[in-house]
Amino acid sequence: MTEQTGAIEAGVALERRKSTGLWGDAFRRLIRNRLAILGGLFVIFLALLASIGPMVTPWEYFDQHTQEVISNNNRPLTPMQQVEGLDHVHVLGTDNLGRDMLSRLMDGARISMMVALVVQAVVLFIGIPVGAAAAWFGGRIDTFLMRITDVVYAYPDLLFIILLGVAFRETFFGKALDGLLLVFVAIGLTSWVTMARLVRGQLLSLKETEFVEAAKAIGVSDRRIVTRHLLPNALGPIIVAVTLGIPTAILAEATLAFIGIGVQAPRASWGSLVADGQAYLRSFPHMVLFPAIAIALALISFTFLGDGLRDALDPKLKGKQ
Amino acid sequence: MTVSDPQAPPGGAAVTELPDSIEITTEEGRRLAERLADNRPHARKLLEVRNLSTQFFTRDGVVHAVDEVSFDVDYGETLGLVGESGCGKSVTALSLVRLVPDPPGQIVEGQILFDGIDILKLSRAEMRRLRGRKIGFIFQDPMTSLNPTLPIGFQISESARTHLGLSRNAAADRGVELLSKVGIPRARDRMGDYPHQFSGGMRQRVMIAIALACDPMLLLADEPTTALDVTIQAQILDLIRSLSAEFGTAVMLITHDLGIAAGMCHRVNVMYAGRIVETGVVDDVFENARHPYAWGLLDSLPRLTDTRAGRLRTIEGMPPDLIDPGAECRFAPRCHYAQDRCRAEEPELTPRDGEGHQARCFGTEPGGWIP
Amino acid sequence: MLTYVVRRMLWIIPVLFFVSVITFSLMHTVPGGPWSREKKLPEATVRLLNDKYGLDEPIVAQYLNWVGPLHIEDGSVACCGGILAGDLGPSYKYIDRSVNQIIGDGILTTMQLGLMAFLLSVAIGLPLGIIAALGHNRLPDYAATFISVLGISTPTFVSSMLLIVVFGVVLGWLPVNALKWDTDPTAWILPIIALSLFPIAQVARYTRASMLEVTRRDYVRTAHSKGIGQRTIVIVHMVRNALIPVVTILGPVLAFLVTGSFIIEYIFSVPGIGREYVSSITQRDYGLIMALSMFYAVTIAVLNLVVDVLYAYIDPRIRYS
Repeated sequence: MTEQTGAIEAGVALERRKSTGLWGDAFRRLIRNRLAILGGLFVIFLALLASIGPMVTPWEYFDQHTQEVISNNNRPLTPMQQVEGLDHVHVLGTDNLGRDMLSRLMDGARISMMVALVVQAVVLFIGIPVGAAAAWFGGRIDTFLMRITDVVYAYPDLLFIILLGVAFRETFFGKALDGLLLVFVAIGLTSWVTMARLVRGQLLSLKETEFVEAAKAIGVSDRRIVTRHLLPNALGPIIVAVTLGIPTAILAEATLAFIGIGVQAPRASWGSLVADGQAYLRSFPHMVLFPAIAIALALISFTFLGDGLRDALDPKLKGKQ
Repeated sequence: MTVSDPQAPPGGAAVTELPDSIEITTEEGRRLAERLADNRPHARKLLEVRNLSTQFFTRDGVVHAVDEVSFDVDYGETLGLVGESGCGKSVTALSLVRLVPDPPGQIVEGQILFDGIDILKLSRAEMRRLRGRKIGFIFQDPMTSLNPTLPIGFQISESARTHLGLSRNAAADRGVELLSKVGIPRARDRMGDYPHQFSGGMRQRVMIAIALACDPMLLLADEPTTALDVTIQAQILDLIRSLSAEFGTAVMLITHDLGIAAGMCHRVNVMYAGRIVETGVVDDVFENARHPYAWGLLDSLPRLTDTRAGRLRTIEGMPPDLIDPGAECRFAPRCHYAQDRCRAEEPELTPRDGEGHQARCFGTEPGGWIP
Repeated sequence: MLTYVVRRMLWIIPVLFFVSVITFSLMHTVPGGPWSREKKLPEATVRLLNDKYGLDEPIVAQYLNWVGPLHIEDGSVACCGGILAGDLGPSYKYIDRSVNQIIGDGILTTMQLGLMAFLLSVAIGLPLGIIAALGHNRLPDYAATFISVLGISTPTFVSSMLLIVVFGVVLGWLPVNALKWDTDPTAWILPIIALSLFPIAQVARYTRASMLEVTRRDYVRTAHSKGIGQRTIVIVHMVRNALIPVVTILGPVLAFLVTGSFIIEYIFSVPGIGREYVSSITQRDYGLIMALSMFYAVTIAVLNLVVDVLYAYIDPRIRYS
């Protein structure tokens, strides 16, 4: 209450002026943040690319235009390179097997967006109940659950994911969905912990507030209190955590693909594209450059969006306007 | 040898100078001499504020937090600044030492004369020399106002080292002295302790020690007891009162608690919506208030004679929006006695009965409609 | 504080137990066992190998043998062996080298790499964050934030390759294979920079956020009200408090340096244990994978412990409680 006294005057005045509610205020703050808007736009672009893209391109990501490569002296085609006798051009070139880079990048976009969504779904599915249970029931259950999260948290993420990948890659489970199921599960299993801790922290501080006491006094059931009263208030930080967790997931998947775990050929995860292009780094850098830029842009935009959401949803964190 | 004070006005009564035969050899003596020089009866007041306006420039508009506020604080007197949250009293205090967060705040007009010095014309370096040295500040929340990673001994002696040029040892000695003066037992042992090792009341005592470290002429106390237990409140207020009496320090006490104001202050200013609505000697304001807001405040105090069955008395309505306030009396929307004139133009501060007693209300003016 | 440290140290035991169980189980769920190659080995050979390596013991016994310090074979218990006795086991691919030897050969290199990257990360990250915060919403902030976001969003393997292309191939300034550390010190430059890009960004971001938090604190206002100069306030009051939370991020930074080191070693051919780890994954050397995973996990757990103790020491609120 004392931090920045002048703000009390300003805040009190503003409060009386507009009462559009938490989400309206947050949305307006978000709109003003140019970086967040840029990030958001690119995320939407990626989503479109991932969903519609593969239907729009003339070729599939696994189509090998072997003839074209052979006629190019067994070298991959560079972007927009004209090959005699052909009426089409590969906008972003091809790889060494003659596969169109643009189509492969789009498949990569699809994979990355799936990773983003599914992993976060797993995180929410495990993390929220665990965190909520720990916060609500407290006592022994809380200690028990927190010990579990502590131990899981202590296991280095990348190591665990690699071990899972190595262990299961030959199995049915590991080959499902071109190896993606394994990746989703592995990354999800390591990421839920921070969400659980976050949810627990939020609910703990909300649990002691008066409106919870009031709800209990009226006789609202425990589950109702948690789902209808507590969780919606914790929604803000949860949204931010989900958004900021996506870059980590995409990065993990790319790293795995680079080492050779996870997505199976011929699927074109951006990480595996980089690995494929490694040998051609000096002569045909476009094979590495494009997926690298794609990864970087995806990560940056989710980060900006996440930062913007965090600033918008918690005005105390925003510094001088 | 006379002690010269560069900030003393030329001339003035020589009554409080030390005789030539006394040599100042001790730190104590030096301070005493300085204080004597400071408290010479002057023609002017210690603090003269004229038409001070501080505004906050936000994306949603300009908040007129402090609107043409004028008041004085005399040497050695205790002035109360009373009002509810958001009325501008804290911003007023911050404006006096130019600590209003900028952006978004700014002092847009007015004049502040401190001991004859025009504060708003000082350079930043000069202003810094005044802060801590001549003007001390006590903040509301002792929990957050102390640096948790520095020993309190360091925090107390910091200003002494900066302003008085004391060596580390001399400053530490002064720190111990100050700590015991504010009532912390075993002061020397506790110099190396950290803020979290003190209770709330003791932390506020430390804050007081910090504020008084360089023997300032004016102490700005912004709700010094609001964050403390009621029993501790009384102790802290007593401490402030006795120290200010002992050292002749003027105090501007900001509070929302009328009881505190009544017990501590010589004069009181009542603030509402960025303006002073009533001012006067404490007895006049409390026993003979002449502004409906002041009545509301006084009326809302629970009394011993209240019965359990009765309701608490409040002032209906909410304080106004400080963005682009209109030309009306700001209290009119909540005032039982408001008439058309009140909604059309804003009253000025006009005199009432009692020395320096003024109120900003058409209704209570001589010839007005409120008896 | 002593109780805190002791409790923290004791906590490592269950954590490492859990880590060892998970690691062991995962490696033993791989279908086909460690001897499966393209050509199937004759049954008799497999049985001999299993007996030699103790793989025919019941699974719990195998686990206990691996951990040690006792050794169980064909029903008899003897001393000594296993991790707790200092023996990390055999490699299933290198017949003449045990894991201990492999680690011994490469540990120094890997530690040097990690240590230097760590120093670089702190030396650049901290000032970057502080400058960004002090120049909030002005050029220094934008520049530093831009660099940090770039650093976080570029996967290590991507930035390594870009560095190789730019500095190794195009400009030809620096060598790209760090084969002989002792003979050619310039070979270290690229790997160290590549490894520290992400941590620099993390540290800078965190420091900036922490400094901005501190700027808003009441005690900074108190310092101003005492008439202390701006420079003193920044150094004595602000940085001191801002750095304390930054220590908490050193844990993840160190963990990253440990796990990131194997990617870097793989790309730059640095002769450390990381390179061995990556090749053990591709070659399916399960003994080596298990042992090195355990080794990494223990290292990270110990480093986290050190960071936690350091944090407790630095924050007076914990030290004197």
